[in-house]
Amino acid sequence: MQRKILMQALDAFVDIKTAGEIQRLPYRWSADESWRENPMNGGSQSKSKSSGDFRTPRSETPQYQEPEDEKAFLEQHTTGACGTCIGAE
Amino acid sequence: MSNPVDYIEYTRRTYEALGYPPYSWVENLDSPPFTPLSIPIEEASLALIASGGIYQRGQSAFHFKDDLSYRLINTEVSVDELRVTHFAYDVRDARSDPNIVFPIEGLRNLVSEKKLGGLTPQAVTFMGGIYSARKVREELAPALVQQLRDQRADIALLVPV
Repeated sequence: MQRKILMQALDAFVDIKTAGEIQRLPYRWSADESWRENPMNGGSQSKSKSSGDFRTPRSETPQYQEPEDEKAFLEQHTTGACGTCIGAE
Repeated sequence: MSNPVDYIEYTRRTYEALGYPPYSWVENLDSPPFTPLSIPIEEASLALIASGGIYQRGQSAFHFKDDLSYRLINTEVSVDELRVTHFAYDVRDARSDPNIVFPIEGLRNLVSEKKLGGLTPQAVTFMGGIYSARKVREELAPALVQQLRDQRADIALLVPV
């Protein structure tokens, strides 16, 4: 499916002739659409309807996927900026 | 096909429940500029831009409070090196297969099959969910556009989250 979506995205670069045109594709994320009841849930997978903000609390500390990633970052930046973390070094 | 999620109504409801004043939406009154592709797609260099909080192992992760920084990721990167962090969506599937939010392998395959001319040397990633539209408009967006110019991109594919 990823390939189909990408091919249709490339086709859109050629086919779309006017600003603002939207092409809707016939794919669905999942047959279980209960996620629609709380679409901005940050990962708790609650299926209850929203009665507040369930997103992850905000913080100005980098949020690494793996603890080891922070160590890898420090190792890669021992001599200064790497030039690819723009605005974060 | 199911109707799209009504995020505007959802956000209004969420803010009201939190006791905030009505959410102030950005309204762009001008039509977006449109530039037809002037070369065959098979000759075009594509820049991949993704807002799903992707970084490469060894890079700094994004933080969750209006992070205006961005990452440059070599388009030859191994997917095993990619990481995903974001405060506003369930990242489990994206961590299992980063191509969901950063379709680099699919794009490389299309280049190999000569359906696409090529990729820019580096993809650009950032973390959406930045509350200040002004900072995005005046700081982040111009920096991303400059990256596309520097890397001589013909087209850009933005994968939003």
